[in-house]
Amino acid sequence: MKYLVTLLTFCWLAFGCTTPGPVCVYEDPATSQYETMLWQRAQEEQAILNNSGLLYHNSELEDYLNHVARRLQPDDISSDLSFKIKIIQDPNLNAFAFPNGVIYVHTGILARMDNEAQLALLLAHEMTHCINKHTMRVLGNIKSRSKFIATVQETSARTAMTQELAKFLGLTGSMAAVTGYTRELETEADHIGLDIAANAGYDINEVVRLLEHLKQELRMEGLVEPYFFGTHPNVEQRIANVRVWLDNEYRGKTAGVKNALIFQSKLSQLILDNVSLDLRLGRFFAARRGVEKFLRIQPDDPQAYYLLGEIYRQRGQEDDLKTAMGCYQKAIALDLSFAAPHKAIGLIHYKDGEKHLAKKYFETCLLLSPNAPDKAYIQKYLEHCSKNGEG
Amino acid sequence: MKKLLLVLLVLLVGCVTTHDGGPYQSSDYKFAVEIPDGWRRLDTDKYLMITRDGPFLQYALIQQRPADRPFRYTQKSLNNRMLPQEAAGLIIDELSSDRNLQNFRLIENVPARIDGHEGFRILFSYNDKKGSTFKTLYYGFVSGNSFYNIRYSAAIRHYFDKDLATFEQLLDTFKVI
Repeated sequence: MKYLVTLLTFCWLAFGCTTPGPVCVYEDPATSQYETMLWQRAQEEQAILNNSGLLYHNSELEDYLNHVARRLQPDDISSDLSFKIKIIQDPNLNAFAFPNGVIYVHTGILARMDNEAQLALLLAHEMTHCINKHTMRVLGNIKSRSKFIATVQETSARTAMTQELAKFLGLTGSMAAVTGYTRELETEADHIGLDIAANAGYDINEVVRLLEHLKQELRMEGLVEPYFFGTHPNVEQRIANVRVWLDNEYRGKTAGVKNALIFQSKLSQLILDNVSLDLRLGRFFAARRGVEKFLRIQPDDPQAYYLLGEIYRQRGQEDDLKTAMGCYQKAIALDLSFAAPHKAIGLIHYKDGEKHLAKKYFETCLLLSPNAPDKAYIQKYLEHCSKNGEG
Repeated sequence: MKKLLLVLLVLLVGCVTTHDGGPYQSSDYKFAVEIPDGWRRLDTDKYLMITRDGPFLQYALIQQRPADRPFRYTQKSLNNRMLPQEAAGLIIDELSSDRNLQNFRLIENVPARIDGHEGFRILFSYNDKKGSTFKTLYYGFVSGNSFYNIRYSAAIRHYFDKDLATFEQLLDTFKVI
């Protein structure tokens, strides 16, 4: 990956050599050839990302996110800059903006938020990168190209997952998503983002909760801060910064809205879908927290109980199978026609050697779902159960 | 995947000796297989890789790895108490998390017997970065503390169907030793 990033960086820098010096960051985008080329490049990178199969599609949710972005959009920005929010299926905590106003938000970070105010603060941060042309500022102020390349390499190589994301992104995307901007620009985005969210009527005190929530998540998962936090000031410093701003500049200002209920109703399916992504990566703690959060919104959802059972069954620590069994039973109680938990209970009994019990559950599973995707496996289990004479 | 690409590159520039078809036995990885005529093998200490038309178009790969060796993406690990379906699920989790395999689509996941071992067979398609579609047939099983996987991957257009039968013949000759 390092070589790819180096190559991309060289290409970009070589490309940049043919252009005039740094462009004034407040120049109208349409009049800036340099920026036009940057936007074209961003569009090319986005096309690759959009065709990668990584996007999460939920038109109602996307409409909602774009509605929040429109509410945040300041009146005095260039008419060429319009924001569009897209969602990436990825349980890692990240969000990033291309210079042309297209913002990608991971399911992971959305799933961990509590309300619309937190979403607004995140989007406002990313929008600030676009409005204040941070990509242009970074590229226009490169003093040492070799140092810049080394930084991109070093940062993108920090974890496997950042390398994976960078595979889809060229320089503009990698800088936004993987390496981040400079610490000063990230602090600026935090500060101005706060202002944008406040002007749109959101409760900006939620920024502390968002950051503390994320800090806890990172600590519990033992994660390095890879993306959204890559070269940002560390979370502790960001929390300290926003506390100072809230205590001074925003002291006594009327609290804005949080819009927790509408946020939860729009995001609930995404939370559950993100649980499946966490489970796929074996991030059992994050998956469990996600499903528990979902169950607080929709307490009687059989799919959620089934997923909770899967988390425990697949983790397989002491007493996990017993807990998993309880979750599957609850899922069945909530939806008697739900085939998957029958199969899961069958598997537990099958591995325990309780073939007669396993057979009963496997048969029920196939009765409820005659064309189950794993029908061939279940039939095989049933054959074994019968062969053992315990059927 | 990065290592695989590196190996492919090395093969391309011809710095590695290739060998023709015939019996192949790896004492390190404890398997034997009959390489089909017209296929060339690449020497690597990680796995057996063979190809007829070049590894960018089609190849077969046989690998033995410790069951508990961590994967690149998923934090889950294989163990010898797993049912084939559970092992298949974990491999699918790993593959579908690999962003080199764009638009990953699972076509089939069924039980399979490989050299007498209970295992699984999964068939999936994906796009590479250039947008070409590839299909992979992936057999796997856990034996003792080892996980064996035998796969055939080829461009859907023209190549996959062409050598599928040859790959199935190769699979029939596979033996854990």
